[in-house]
Amino acid sequence: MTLSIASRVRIYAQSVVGNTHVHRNIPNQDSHAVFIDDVNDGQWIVAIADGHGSNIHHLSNIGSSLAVQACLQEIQKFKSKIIGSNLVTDNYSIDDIKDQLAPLIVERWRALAEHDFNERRFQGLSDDPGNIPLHVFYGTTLAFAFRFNSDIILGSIGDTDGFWRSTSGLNRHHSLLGESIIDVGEETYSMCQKNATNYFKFNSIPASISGTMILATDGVKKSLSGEHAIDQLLDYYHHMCESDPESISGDLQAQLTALTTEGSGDDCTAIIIHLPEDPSHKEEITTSDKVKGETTYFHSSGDENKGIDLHDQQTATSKKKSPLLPDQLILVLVISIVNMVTVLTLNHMGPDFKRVAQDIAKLPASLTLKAQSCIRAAMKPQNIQERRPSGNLNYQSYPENQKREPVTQLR
Amino acid sequence: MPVPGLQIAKRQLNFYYILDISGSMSTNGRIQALNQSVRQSIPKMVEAAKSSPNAELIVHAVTFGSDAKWHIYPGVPIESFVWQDVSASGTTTMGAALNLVCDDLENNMPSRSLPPVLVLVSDGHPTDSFDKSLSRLVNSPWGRKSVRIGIGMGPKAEVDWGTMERFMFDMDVAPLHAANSADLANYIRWASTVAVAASSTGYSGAEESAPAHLGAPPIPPTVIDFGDVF
Repeated sequence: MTLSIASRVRIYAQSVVGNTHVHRNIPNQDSHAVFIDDVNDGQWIVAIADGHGSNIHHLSNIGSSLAVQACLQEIQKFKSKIIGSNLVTDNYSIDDIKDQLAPLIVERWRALAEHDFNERRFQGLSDDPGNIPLHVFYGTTLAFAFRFNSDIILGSIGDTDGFWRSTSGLNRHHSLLGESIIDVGEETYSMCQKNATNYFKFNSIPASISGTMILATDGVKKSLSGEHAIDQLLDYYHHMCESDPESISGDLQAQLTALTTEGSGDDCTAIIIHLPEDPSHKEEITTSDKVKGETTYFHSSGDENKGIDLHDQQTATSKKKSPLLPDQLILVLVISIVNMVTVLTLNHMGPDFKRVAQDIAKLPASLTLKAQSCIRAAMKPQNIQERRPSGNLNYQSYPENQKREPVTQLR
Repeated sequence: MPVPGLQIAKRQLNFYYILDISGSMSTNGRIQALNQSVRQSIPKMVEAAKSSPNAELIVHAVTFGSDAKWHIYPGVPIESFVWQDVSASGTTTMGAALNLVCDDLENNMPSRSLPPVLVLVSDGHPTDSFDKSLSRLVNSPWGRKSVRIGIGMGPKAEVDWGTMERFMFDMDVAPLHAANSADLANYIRWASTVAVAASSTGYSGAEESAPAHLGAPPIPPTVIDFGDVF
């Protein structure tokens, strides 16, 4: 099983403080994170969260940032656990992924929130929560997308949604994650709810098809007059990804600012994922010189609303061969042992069987070499490391003020 | 440059006056006070709309006497809202009025709207099945999220406070009592401005853990009464 990648996936992310929040001096409640794994075949994960912001959720700007952290950590663990345990990932249904992943993310988020709250109490920044579960203070939505085998998996809780158009423009989706009945007005499902895992929605699209996906917090959707406006947005950025990718970050910032000013007034955050028309599934990833072979982190440069163009910065050269996975390794070893036993047995059965034994012996010779090679590869520290979550992370949130926080590193 | 011609839209904030025009409203100048109070609230509503630049305030009005009917429908933007006086007669079909509002909330509200604001003004008891209509409101997605203010006018003993309280289910404030025209003007102005502001904060909440509405700021103390006692 080879994990291949579409080598020229482009990812752009931007966030602006909502117009109403600017007027009321309220910090941006949205957070987003982009993880590019430049070791494990350029796999990527994006996450976006929208803190609720009302009084009872007074730490929700932190809650949203913890949500994207928890999400990226658990998806990395989930993927590496599956890859490392010989499970046949092709057999994983979207329900399997949901059943396993949603509880992990929620549990992790709760642990991070509890830790944060205890720190606050220790520092005298927060009082006893009383009868209110402390997670409620951190209430947030969450949505994410990641590459898993031949699919792009999308998941969410709450009203953050995704839009899609194929390169041809014939295939479109104005709500990849679907609206719930309660997603009207200001109420939505939340990570802080008792049975939050029940409210996760999952979806998938084949990674082989080309097009552009936009994940966006509800501030974006509520600023658009309808499906036609979503199409306008998709078409514009799809063509821009293909014709003028260098300008997208600045353009997206201006777009989100216009949306919140003339539209919803809410914080607006969007992640654009462009899947190219010719996903050649190359093992080799191209890179810019400045980051070749290095772990790279993406910073917002402290400039409010400045976005990231991951394409230019994140890709790294990787000419490694896909490591043999343990199930294949065991198979090779078993075949080798069986063949060796067979040859020894035939040799002991007399001269008539020696010729057969010699023919069979040719097979284990090649397999044994392959097995030895695999064992050596598997025992190398760098190859063991390749199985662990690793790569680049851009993690951005805006907790305490309207300035963008320094990039946080998760490893 | 942002997407050329992108259809950006403000979020609608639908405001509903639900006004009692039953026969009892013709006593002690109540209906005149009601007309005057609604008219006086308009400049303050325009002001509130300006301070919520991302909301498009749309005003509707339904009246209930012998029957319930739309007085202003479809809703009009606050900038072009003009109040036409109503006159009082008949019974108190409050339930039917609430049904009309439910019809509109269920069928005509864009999903991207802000929570609607419902202001109910009455001086008596409903003469139809109000609770059935209220149950419909409670069980509708928008009704449950709405900001609701009930104003009882006239002698305290004549107002159906139970109905008013049920109407304001899960709101942070109790129904208001307008004993005179000054109270009424004050409360309608308050309800039509702060409720608008509360609805348009842009905050969201979890489905279970947060109130379905945003609550309302403290009610201003009643001004010294120079108005008529209803």
